Amino acid sequence: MATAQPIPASVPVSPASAGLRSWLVTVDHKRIGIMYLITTLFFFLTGGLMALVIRLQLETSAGTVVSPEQYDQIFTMHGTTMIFLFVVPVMAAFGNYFVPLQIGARDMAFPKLNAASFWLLLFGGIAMYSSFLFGGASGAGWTAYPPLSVQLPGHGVDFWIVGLHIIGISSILGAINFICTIHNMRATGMRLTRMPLFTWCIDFYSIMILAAGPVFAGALTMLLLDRNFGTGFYDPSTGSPILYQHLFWFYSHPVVYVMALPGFGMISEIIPVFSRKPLFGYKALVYSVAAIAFMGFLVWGHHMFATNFNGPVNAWFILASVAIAVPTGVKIFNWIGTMWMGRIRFEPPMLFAVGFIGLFLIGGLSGLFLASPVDLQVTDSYFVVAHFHYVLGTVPVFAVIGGLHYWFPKMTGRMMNRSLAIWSFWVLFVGFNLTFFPMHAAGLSGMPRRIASYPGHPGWELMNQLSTLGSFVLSAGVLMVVYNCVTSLRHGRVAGNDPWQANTLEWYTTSPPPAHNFDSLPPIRSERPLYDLRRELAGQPPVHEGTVG
Amino acid sequence: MTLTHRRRHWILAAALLAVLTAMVTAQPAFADTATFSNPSSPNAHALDEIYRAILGVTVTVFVLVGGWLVYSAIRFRERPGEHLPEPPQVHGSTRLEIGWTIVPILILVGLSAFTFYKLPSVSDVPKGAMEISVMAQQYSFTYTYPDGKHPASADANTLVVPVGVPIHLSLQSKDVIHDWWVEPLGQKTDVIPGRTTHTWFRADRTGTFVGQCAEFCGPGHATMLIKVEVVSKQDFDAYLADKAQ
Repeated sequence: MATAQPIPASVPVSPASAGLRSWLVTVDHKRIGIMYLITTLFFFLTGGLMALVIRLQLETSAGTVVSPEQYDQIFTMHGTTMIFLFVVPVMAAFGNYFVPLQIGARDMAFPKLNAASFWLLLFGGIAMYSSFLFGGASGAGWTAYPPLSVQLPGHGVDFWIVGLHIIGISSILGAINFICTIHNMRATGMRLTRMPLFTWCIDFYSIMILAAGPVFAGALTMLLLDRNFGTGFYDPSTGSPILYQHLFWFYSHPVVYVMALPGFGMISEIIPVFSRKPLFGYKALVYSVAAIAFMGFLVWGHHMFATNFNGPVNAWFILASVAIAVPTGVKIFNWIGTMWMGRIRFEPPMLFAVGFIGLFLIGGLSGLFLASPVDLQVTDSYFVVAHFHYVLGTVPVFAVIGGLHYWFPKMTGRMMNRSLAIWSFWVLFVGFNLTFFPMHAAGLSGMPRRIASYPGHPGWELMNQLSTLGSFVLSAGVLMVVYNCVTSLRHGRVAGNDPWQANTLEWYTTSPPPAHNFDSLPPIRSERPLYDLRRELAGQPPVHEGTVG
Repeated sequence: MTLTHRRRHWILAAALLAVLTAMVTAQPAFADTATFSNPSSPNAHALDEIYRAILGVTVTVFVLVGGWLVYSAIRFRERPGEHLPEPPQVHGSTRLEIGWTIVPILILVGLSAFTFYKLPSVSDVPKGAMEISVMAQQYSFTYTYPDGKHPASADANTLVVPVGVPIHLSLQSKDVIHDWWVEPLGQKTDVIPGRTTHTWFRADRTGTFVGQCAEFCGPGHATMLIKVEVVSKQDFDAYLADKAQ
């Protein structure tokens, strides 16, 4: 009671100190978060440009835009960039900015380590991309299966491995920092059971990176040694090429959830705020995130069904992969349950969130085919390309851009242009589906992924041309979002502390927050401290948890 | 206010009707794109049956859950200028949540049971199959028939097999990982250096089937094609006698 204060009036604050040097040496989690965001968005645009080259190449069956060698480098770097330099670290961008704010902390647990994580990411990305200056990038695919990745000439694969090592150290250090922050720096009253879902998801994101990352680092080191010192870990005569696949997917399947979980967290923040209701089944949502994080480590073999597993191994990976659909379904039901009987305001973040649920539903359902033996027909075809873009493309395009619209006012003090945001949503929605839906059909009719041309199959051209058209619509949508961000920085309406009437602590402080984040904190009695505070200020009795409808 | 709302409802209804009509009329054109093209072997048929079972379940779930999502979004939206009272602050419903955990489990158990019932007809090589060994290398597949016969060099990369006879392929690779995939004849099978993998098919009609390597194997990956010529038993015997050596 005593600490409950009126929310301070909004003051549009420009960053306390400007100048390049202040950014280079900063250890403020918010500034590091913004640097992460700008860096990862830059890599997103780079990866997107490469996607456009891929789409132009496949527009005709002859595939004459780039040579097969160039095409291999481009799809390798497209995948690698999107996963390791965009979707995984963009979650660290938002995590950096908002986890300390959401738990009422002053900063991350280890601010200098945090800065080191960011700079390692940037330099890891630069190291990897510098391969283009030294004879070309890796053309082994983002999966880099040996023996091909051992045999490929040049140094592209070596740059790729070293770059990933640096990026990997960045994400492991970041994960340690998040875990220590979340478990040690929470404000009084911020029990685990009151923690915002986004913070929960960053917690599991970090735990998964910490558990899986070192395995990948080991696998990559062995690949590097095989390439340069003839160690033969993956050589058929002295080791096994399949060993790499197990190690790779033991890391890379969990990474699917590393990318998806914080996206789920963003959706779980947005839906209740714009439905004016608490999350439906908060605990069930946390448990389902935990279940996904755990089960995510048990299903890697479904990427390897075509390697001729024996019966029991095959059966295990089928059953475990099917089972992971259950907690995923629970989340979707709980989100819609939150909207049910709500009072839904379709501000841009909510549009993106609802769009995300619908599209992720498609990706989740198409995953059932890949968990079953049908995988033997559709794996490594365009069906699987469609599937993973519906799960992992929706996360950045709808969850992250939704989160960006949601938190932009907090980070900058200004609102994004509402009508432009709504238009960009619809352009992205149409472009996304036009790009990726026809790929299901291409895969079902037998089109493998990673082919630079398909001269024998003129019938595949129509589907590919639809995808190519869609990719340009999608790009237009992305540019609209970028334009909106840039112009709103200067011309956006002043946001105030809490433009959405949101629930979590980051909205209690000014927009943008001061370097020390909070002058004071409201009492934290539920997972919605700001909602409770608004009720208290309006003289209404508190709402108790556990109200069952 | 009410007039514009009513007009918007009409526009929404008309748009929905137009989309539905377009989907129904366009259905024949897209019927083939939603399924595998022309399965022609028992394993491909079994995979097609599993595919169709999952398709039935997933489309149903998509319509129900997607419909629930869209209905909730439209039904409970706040129109501009409207200021409704705060909705009831419901935190959950244990019964409902247990329900929507158990129902998917039951559906998935049913689907998995059907899958495991069908699985042997995908993976088990029939007894008495004709043994053909396959050697993969960048960027072609070559075949060795029983008794060590090779096809004539003119069409060294074409596999000629008799119709209706189960064919057991034992696959090996000289260099990197490849994958033997002819969609109408069933599952993909990785070809991995240092080990032998196995697959099979039994073509149920004569004709030419094309496929291609389905595991990225280098810059020539797109050119690593597979051609299977399915001929009658007599033609096959003649082929082996005449052309092979």
